[in-house]
Amino acid sequence: MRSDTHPPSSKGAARDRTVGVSRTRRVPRWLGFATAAIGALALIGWVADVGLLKSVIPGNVAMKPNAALGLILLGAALSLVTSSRAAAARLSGGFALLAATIGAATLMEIVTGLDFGIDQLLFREAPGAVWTATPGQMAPETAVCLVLLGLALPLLRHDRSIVLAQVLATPVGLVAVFELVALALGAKGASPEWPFTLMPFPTATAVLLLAVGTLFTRADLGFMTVATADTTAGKFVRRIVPITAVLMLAIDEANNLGEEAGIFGHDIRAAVSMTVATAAVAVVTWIVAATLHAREMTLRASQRAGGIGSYELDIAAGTWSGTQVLDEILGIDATDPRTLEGWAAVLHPDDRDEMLRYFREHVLGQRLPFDRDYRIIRKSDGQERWVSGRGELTMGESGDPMTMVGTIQDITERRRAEAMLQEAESRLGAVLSSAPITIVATDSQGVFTLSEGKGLERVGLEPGENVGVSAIDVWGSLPFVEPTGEVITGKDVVDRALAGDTVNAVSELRGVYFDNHIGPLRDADGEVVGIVGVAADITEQTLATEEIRELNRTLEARVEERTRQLTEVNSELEAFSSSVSHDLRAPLRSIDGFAKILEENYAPQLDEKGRHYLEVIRSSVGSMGHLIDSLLRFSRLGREALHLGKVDPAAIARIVVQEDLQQETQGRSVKVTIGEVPACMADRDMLRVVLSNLLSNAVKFTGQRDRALIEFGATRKGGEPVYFVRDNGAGFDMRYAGKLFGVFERLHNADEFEGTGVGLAMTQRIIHRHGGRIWAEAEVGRGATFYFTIGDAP
Amino acid sequence: MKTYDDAPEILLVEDNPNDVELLLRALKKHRITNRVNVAKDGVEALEFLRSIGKDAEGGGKIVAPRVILLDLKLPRMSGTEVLSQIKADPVLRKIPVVVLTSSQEESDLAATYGLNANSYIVKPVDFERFLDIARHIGIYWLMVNEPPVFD
Repeated sequence: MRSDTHPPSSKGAARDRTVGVSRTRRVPRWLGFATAAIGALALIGWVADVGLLKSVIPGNVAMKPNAALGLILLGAALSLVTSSRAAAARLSGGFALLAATIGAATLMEIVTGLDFGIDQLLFREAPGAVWTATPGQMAPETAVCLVLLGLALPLLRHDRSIVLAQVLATPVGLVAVFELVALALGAKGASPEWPFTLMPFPTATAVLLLAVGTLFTRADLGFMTVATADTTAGKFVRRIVPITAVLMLAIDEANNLGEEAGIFGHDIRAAVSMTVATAAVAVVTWIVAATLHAREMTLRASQRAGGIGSYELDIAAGTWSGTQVLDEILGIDATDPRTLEGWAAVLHPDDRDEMLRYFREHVLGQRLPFDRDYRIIRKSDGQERWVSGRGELTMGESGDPMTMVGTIQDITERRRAEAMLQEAESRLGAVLSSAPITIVATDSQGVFTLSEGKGLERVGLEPGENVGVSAIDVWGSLPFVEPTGEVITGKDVVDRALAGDTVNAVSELRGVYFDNHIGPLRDADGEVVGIVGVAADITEQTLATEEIRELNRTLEARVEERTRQLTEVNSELEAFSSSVSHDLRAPLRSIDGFAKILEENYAPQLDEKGRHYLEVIRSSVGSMGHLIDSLLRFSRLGREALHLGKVDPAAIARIVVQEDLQQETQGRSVKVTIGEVPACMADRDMLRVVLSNLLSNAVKFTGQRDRALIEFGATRKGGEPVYFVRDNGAGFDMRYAGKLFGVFERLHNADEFEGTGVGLAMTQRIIHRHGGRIWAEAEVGRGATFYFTIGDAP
Repeated sequence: MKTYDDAPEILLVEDNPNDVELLLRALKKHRITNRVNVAKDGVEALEFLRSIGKDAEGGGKIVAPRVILLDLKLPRMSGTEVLSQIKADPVLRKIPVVVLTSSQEESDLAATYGLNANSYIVKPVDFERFLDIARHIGIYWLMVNEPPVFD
């Protein structure tokens, strides 16, 4: 809701609409002087007995001394009435009442027929003076005028009674005009038709001046307001009234001329007068009406265009009248009551109590202007609408509010637009304050007007904390790095942005890197009115980039270092192997040697058991020698280069059977079947080790079979050849298949089958080096099958 | 001044006393020689060989061992280093050097032959085979092979 302040008062507004207030204020003072002067001249005429001064028109009735005195008093009163000095004001009042008393006394004489002796008080007038009913006595209308003016002038001193003064002065003016017209038409004074003394010419003139003076002293108030108003109505009054007067005189004069020239007679003259006057009045009225109509149409159109309806509320009656646009805004028609209840009926139920209370307490109670936006339910379609109500009270004579005049404007669209704007603004605000960036703006002096965004948190600033601070104070000495690598200061950035340039640069503040886009902020005319900047936090990227750069720089060194380490490890490994082969074998040799010497030299001293123990020692040494040799071969395998070539595994298998297995199969029934298998790319010597190991294993584990059956062959699996060595030997428990290829892993008791536990580990290592796989399937007591692939040799 | 008969026929460079004992026993058992000088490490071996050289400078006749049996894994100075120094010496390089080691490493083979070793023999663990080898060495180097001539 808006605030309820509404400064201009109705009085001030009225004054604004009047023309030449100061001029119309000065004029009455001069009119007062002129009136007093006329009275004074008449008195001088009486003193010096100069008829011209008394009647101005020779042979006419003379201004009576009392009338002259009264006019002097009223003239003085008029001149003084606007004085701001209290004494002058009181004097004005005294003069006016004195003049009124003179007039009243004269009237008493006329009404009662008594002679108070006031008529001959100042000067004696001989009986039978021209056009005079009672010698020395002023005309009765003069007396009435004195009374009325004497009462009116003091009323001018109070704003509230001004209209009364004007009401009193108006008939006085009309009487004066009547007298002047009568004189102009040749009337002289008392006559059979007019039994009273007519006003003498100077008196009528002076009375007219006083009446005019009284009316215009405060023309900004009372009903004279319209005469001085800067409105069409004011123009009409100021132009049409004089024109009408002149027109009437002209009609009468034309009639006179017509009658004298014998064009028409006396009876026709009256008809012509009536018709012409009626026509003139009708034309004038028509012009006025047409103008008012056009005005009203314009007003109505503009009100409709602005969605503004106006009303006038009669507070005492509780009724109001409004424009058609107002009806449209409220959605009411002619059948709806134009009452306060009628207004309350269209109010939105949620606002109704509040608005009625506002009207009662704020407007009527405190006599403040009505100024509120409120909701209504438009009666025609039940739509909720927002209206803006304005109204001003007019106070009556008693000071109580009489009417309220105001407007009601439909502001629904505006409010909707405002609400949308507000929503957009708050949405933008939310975006700004939650964006992981910083957004700033400055005025044309480079002082921050906006500082928002989550990015501020990173440097420990609150949103808006920098507002009011100069950007140069904050950034001035900070280095900004442009994409070209050039470093500029924050002051350069601000200066360039204010000069219309857009700067893109990276800055760093408290360990946080920002990518800044700072450019000019322009108004609708394209003038730079500040700068606007967006800064994105690029700390992570920056640090990551730095790290990558650093890594790249050190990569070569690290590769070298790693290579050196590997070489070192390799040579250490070799040293270890060499050490194993030498240092482990040397003590074994000693054991074996000395055991043998013992056997040779001291055998006679040893019994059977002693000799057996020596035998065990020497056989153990032999096993350990084998183990060491196998282990060395195994470790050497990993280091030797592969010499790949196309080989036929079946051919190799045949050689193995002939050369390696001879000894082992001696005295046994072993049948080795070698099938046709695909050739492959492999290291011939290594593949021989593989087949030798697998086949001799098969021979070994079929040792307890009467007929050992061993098969070497190949199948295909997924297009790849899978070689296998199958036997009908002891087999093994598949639960331990995982241990099959480990170094020194044995699945059988050494008593049952000899072996070092290195053979299969070595086999697997060779297969792996060729890029192949090896696995086994077996069942205890039912033989085993070893499968392997060679793979695409690397 | 040593006489020719007193001069050692074999310089055995070996730090392991067990191996020394076993080898000496083997040579003795086959009645090949008992004129064996034993150096316990590379430094000792070189000192002995240099002393021969000094005799030569003194105008005496050089009496060199007919063969040097060199172990590779030695304290202080390795066999490879000893070999390299022997073969770098204009006089000593003529003496046949037989590398007698437990190592079967290819790198050792390559290194020693690269330094002009005259033979490479792997010491077996089995004592009988060891005896056999010792016999072969004695017969070959002390009886079959003609020693180099020193000026």
